[in-house]
Amino acid sequence: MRVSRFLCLLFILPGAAIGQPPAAVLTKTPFTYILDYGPDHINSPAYIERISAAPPTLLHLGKDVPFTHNWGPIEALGGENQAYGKRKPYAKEDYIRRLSPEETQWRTAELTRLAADLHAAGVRWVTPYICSMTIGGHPDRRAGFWEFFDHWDEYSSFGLGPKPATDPIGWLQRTPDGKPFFFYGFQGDFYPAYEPNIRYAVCQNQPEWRQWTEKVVENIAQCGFDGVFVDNAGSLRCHCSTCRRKWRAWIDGRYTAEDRRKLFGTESPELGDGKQAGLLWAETHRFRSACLKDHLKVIADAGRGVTEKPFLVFPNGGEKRPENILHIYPDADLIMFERSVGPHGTHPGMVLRPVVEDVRIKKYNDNVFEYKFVECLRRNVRPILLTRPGYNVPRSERELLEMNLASAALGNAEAAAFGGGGGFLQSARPDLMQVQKRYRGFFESHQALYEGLDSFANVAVVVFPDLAWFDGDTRHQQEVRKATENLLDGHVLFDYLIGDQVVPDALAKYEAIVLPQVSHIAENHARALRQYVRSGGVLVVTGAVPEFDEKGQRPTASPLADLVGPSAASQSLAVKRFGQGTTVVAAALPAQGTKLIEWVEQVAGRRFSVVADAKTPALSKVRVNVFRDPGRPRYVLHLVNYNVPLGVESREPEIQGPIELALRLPGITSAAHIRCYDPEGQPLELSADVKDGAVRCALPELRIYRVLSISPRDRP
Amino acid sequence: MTIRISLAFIVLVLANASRPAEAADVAGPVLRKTNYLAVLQEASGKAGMVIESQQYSPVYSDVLSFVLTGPESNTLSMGEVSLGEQLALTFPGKTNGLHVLELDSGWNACRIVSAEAPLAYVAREIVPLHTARGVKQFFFYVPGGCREFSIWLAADTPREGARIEISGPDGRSIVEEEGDYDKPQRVRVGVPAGGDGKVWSLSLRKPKAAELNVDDVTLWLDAALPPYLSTREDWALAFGKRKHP
Repeated sequence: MRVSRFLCLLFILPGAAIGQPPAAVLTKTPFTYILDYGPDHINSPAYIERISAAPPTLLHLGKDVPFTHNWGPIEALGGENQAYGKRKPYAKEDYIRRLSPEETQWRTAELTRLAADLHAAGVRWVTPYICSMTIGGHPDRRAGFWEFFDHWDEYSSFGLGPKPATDPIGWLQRTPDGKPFFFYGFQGDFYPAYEPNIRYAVCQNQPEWRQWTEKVVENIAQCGFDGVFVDNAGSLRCHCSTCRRKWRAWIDGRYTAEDRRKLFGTESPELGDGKQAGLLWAETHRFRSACLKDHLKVIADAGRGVTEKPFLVFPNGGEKRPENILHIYPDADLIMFERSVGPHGTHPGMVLRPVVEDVRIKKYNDNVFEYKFVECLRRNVRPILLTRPGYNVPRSERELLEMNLASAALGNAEAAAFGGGGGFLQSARPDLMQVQKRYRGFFESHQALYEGLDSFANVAVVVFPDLAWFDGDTRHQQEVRKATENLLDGHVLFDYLIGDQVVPDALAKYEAIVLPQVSHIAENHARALRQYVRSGGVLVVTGAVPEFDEKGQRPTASPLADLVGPSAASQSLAVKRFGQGTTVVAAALPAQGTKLIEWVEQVAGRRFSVVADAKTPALSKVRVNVFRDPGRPRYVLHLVNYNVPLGVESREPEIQGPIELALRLPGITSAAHIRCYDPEGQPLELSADVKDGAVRCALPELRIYRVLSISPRDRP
Repeated sequence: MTIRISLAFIVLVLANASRPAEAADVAGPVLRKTNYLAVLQEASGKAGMVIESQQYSPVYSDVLSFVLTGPESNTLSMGEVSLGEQLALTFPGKTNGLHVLELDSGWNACRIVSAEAPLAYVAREIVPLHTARGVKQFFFYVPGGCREFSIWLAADTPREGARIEISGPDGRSIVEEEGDYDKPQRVRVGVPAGGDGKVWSLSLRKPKAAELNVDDVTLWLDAALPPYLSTREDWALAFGKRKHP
């Protein structure tokens, strides 16, 4: 293999996992996904008929379960934590009336029929809703969950096991001074959505709560459901005695007494506090993440114990928390990014925002970082995006930002192009479901385009999620997003290198690496980076050179000082040769534009963009991504056009093209065979040649999404 | 709380009279957050402006980003201006008509230093104007037939407010009031006979109340007025007459 210059985006994870990293997980076929929290699914032939018309791969229901996590068995169905949380006279129905054991048996039968009917309708996975940590009620009045708890033994036929010895009030998350900790605060005597009751946060480390979670899940699995959605899966801020005991074992196991004294000022550090970023706060988060990961495993095991096959665990908690995806969710089946808020909503596409007279300014939304971060993690978990036109926005704003048929297609395309097997949330709106139906059919009939592949890229961006705990802010994450935007706009193929992926073999795959506002770096990672640059790699460092090590200590000299040079700090842009490679140091990345690419190309001496055309603002919003077949020289190129107007007003996408493509694909050095697929049209062959080492072809036009399968002509 | 100084006795100069035709300063007020400028580009003419990015405080690192949109809502160019620097922005010159320039300075600030083509600051309810440190003078057009209009102000930072003075076509003060404007508040203005179909002006200054300073003030014009504020009277007229000839 020709040695070429590689820029590695160094991802340095303090306290990296002991032992070998898990084997990389390759891509899977994307899927379609509906979230439907409606209350009227059981005994509803009309509902089954509606789903049958366009069944999604994954149907996520509300609390359509025999025992809800927060109230026990109740009259209401559907909804999530907030919905249907009252009785008369506080609501029009007795939503949280406790079902008797006989009623619960009947309910179980109805839910079993529902699961069977949905499967027969074509849904592959049906996952109802539970929450990791919520109960509702009143411990003194013995209302809500406490009422059920007091009648626990009556439900023995459901396999609940012996009644827990501790009252649920003893299961709560606690503040450092022992008071109940509330994630969702309220004024007065009750939580408004639970009037007159209180919404409590339970500790996921409490054995009785774990026991209860298992029973909830077992009964769900008994109905034939395929898994559960787990809300608030990252919500643990507890200081109860159980947590403190586990924390003691955790921190003592990771640091010697001497190290604890040196690093934390005491042999027995308490759980950290968000007001003080640094190693203790990072370790606190890592500890809590391990606990939450364990709780999810309890859920998965409980379900699998009944179904005797993998039970889908689908937590919520990815949004703005890449550190949680790395530490809590890598072994989950799916992770939801609940993207509720953005300056222009979060539905993927183009917003035409009125300014004055007839002039509208174009703004774009995409979710590439979210999808790609999970895909690049190369673990079991796959990404799911929930997007919205905003939260509690005025009607005029909503109408401007709402999903339409074309943007729904774009949403599914984005999941397919970047998620490595992800899914995009839609509601059960019949017209949107037809879009999904088309995409599901396409995905499942073209699995070779999606299954068993690995990402292919020339540039890597180091993502260091733990820095949020060390820096106490999101400067690193924001810089990663800027790098992402620069690379996407410039049509440069890139990956994220995350955590324990920073090893020489992985670094060697890339021609350029970006180290975005990294403040802490472990010596072994710095060493690998130095070796990489010395061997000919190109490294772009933005922001100050890392000053601290992975324990938050400041070494006498920055581990990368020799890569950067002494004068870099005083310049907005500095270039330094190191061995056979080069380091570029910039004060910061621009939020838009392609400056990053200019720097890389200047140093590397070649173009990196896979789009040969001159850049226009509209063309820059065509996003590209490439995967390769690990076993042979076959590549799959995805092109997604984000010039798709959002909003209720019907507007056609702004078609782009023809688009001239030029890709350097190892193993394809002479003639190439290219077949172009379109979920909304017929496949076609593209003529291609290989010139100056690059496969070149022209895509006639791109409306929303196209997938190109590229292989040597003699081996199509 | 607002204090309104009654100027009911002001009598407008006859319509034929006008303020001296002096060259008004193009340099605009200091702006923060996201703002929009409207520019009337003639295909045959030169167009360009100089934008300045300012550091409002050492704690802020936001740079100035801009997006230029043409009359067909097509994005013509975009970029960034580093803190403390100026950029001479040239318009492509191929399309005639109303262009919009978005300036996003975040928590830092920016300013138009100079401009060659008619320029106005967009100030409407859905796209308000975010000023900082006061406004020396803005001109705006009051359409013919308009009997009353309102200007909205908001200055929700504690201990900040504004003193607004609205002057008629002859330059005489019609309304002067001040307050903290912690919540958006409208300043109502009655249009005297002969005052419509002409260019008025406003300024935002430090309130006389000692405890208030003028800094971040958001303002917009109500729907009775074309949503344009300009640093030149002739430009305000040009923009104003686009929809009210």
